[in-house]
Amino acid sequence: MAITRPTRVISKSWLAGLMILAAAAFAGPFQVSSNELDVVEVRSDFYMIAGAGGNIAVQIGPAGVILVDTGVTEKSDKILAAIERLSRGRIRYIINTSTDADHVGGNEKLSKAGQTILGNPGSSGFSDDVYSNSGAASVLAHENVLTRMSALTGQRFPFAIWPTKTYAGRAYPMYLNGDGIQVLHMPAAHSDGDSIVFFRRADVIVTGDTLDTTRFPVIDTAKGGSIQGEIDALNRLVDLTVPPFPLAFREDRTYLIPGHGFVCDFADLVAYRSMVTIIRDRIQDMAGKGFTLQQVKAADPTQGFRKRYGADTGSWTTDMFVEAVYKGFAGKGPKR
Amino acid sequence: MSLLKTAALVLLLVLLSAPAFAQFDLSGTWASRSNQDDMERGAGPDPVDYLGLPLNDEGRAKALSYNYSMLSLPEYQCGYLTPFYIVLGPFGLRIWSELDPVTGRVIAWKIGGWVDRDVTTIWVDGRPHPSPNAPHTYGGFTTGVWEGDTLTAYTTHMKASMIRRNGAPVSDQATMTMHIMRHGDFLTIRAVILDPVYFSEPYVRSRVWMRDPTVNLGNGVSSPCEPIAELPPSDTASVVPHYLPGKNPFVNELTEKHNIPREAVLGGAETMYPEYREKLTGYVPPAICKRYCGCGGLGVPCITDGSGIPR
Repeated sequence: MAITRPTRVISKSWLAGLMILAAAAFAGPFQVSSNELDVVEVRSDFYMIAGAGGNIAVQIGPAGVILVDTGVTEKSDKILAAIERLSRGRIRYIINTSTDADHVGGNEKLSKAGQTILGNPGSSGFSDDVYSNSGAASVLAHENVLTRMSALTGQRFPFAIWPTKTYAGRAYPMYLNGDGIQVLHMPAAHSDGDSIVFFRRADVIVTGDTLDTTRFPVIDTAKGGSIQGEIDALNRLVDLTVPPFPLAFREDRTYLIPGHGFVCDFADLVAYRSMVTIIRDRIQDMAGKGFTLQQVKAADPTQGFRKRYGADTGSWTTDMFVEAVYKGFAGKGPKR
Repeated sequence: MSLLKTAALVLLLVLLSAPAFAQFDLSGTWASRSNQDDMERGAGPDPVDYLGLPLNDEGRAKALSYNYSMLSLPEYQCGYLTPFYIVLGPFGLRIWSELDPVTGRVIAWKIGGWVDRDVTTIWVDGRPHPSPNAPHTYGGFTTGVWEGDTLTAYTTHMKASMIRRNGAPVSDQATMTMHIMRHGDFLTIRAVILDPVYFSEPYVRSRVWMRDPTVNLGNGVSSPCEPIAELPPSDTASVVPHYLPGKNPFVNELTEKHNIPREAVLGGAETMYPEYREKLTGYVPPAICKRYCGCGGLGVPCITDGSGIPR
């Protein structure tokens, strides 16, 4: 996190001072180093930290700091330092939006840097391990996240970053820092364990990878994700997100913190939802006509959106996205 | 006096004696003079008319997928166009300044909004642009600097929108540089729009306004808007109107109306330049022209009786 301009060492020479004055007169705007974390103020006492894997939401209040997601493990120290610059309060609660390593990697370090909100260790009469996470901040996720992280097959996660608390069903509510917080399950979207986190008073929704302005949505079919679940989740977000109507020129609106990319509002969400829906329709139409996956890929069903959201290399390519969508329709007959 | 001190003194004098950058007063009401790009100013372009736009293949594909029925969705009804619409739209401009409350210096110029365009604030106090992760707005984020008599403004953080009101797209990665010049009672803005996603070359537009204190431009903010659901929700769930690739029914309309070759209708950087006319040497205009035949701002009467003859 870089906020201030570094101080230059100025020579006592008045000539050097003059030269610096001349240089300063033509200096361009200060740029934040790309190697550092980027902290964006979303609301008063509500921030997004970018550059540490998945975006991290930071809500600050009298009870302390609440985090949604924790980035990658390697950036834990920098994330902690950034949070400490924002607040002197302890981290009291962490909510994970999925099992992805770039969203849960900092669970151990950040939870241990915090303090449980469920009482003081040893004073409640309950087992510290079970009740208060040994004094560390609680880590909440949908139960499917814990199921997958603790499975003996598939991607292995260290025990120390597993969620310490899970919820089943559609939602988990809590009230902290003067805000009603709804953790809502989005079944079968990016995966089967996705949560979005709706801070009702702050009017901020943290979407996890259901919304990702940097790429096509990652639909992890191996973990229960599906194209229709993704679209359903985006439409549910549309329902929850209040646009700035009728006074669209005002700042008043719901903000969304996506899994990756810039802070969004209603219009950005709708544009993303429409993009995913249009591509779904194209692939569904092709699959209905009996196209094979290779034929679908060759027809480029992402045209018009590929340059903005697609990638030919990396962990989530355009081909992988097309394949994930195609799986939702292969062998299901003609469209409509 | 040593040579070093002499040089330093010269440098100091150069710095202090540099002429102050001319900073014209841009404030006031500037009336639209629709004597340019009449098609953009009036009812709007034909559904598939990308002629003169530097669309790349991606931009063309996105444009051809656009279905006007999308506007029937409540979530699209109150969207604004981005600051490109300053030079593309038909409206006049209300411009005012924002002053530092202590020094009285101008810290920003504001170009007022209109029905479907937000206020554009041009910060001239040296502040940097926000992080790439900051929200994108309809008004974007603009900084400006005086370069001689010209205020050069640079806009980032705009929302995805249309560069022409027929679905020709511009992405949320686009930027715009405006050169704002005042010549007495005339105001000229030249805009250079770059879009790494949908354009293969910069798109340049210029436009002139005339100072007119009597023109009514409202209060400078955009109009309130409330969407209306035109279809029962059960019929619209998960539906986004669009055309599948190759299925846009309007792709031949301009060719049939005006005999303009389809490759020209579909636009591209080449079609922006005058030299492109040489590729249309065999062009034969239609015997009867019924739309955009020169009526409007140039004083040519509009065709109103369907004859194709201006009256």
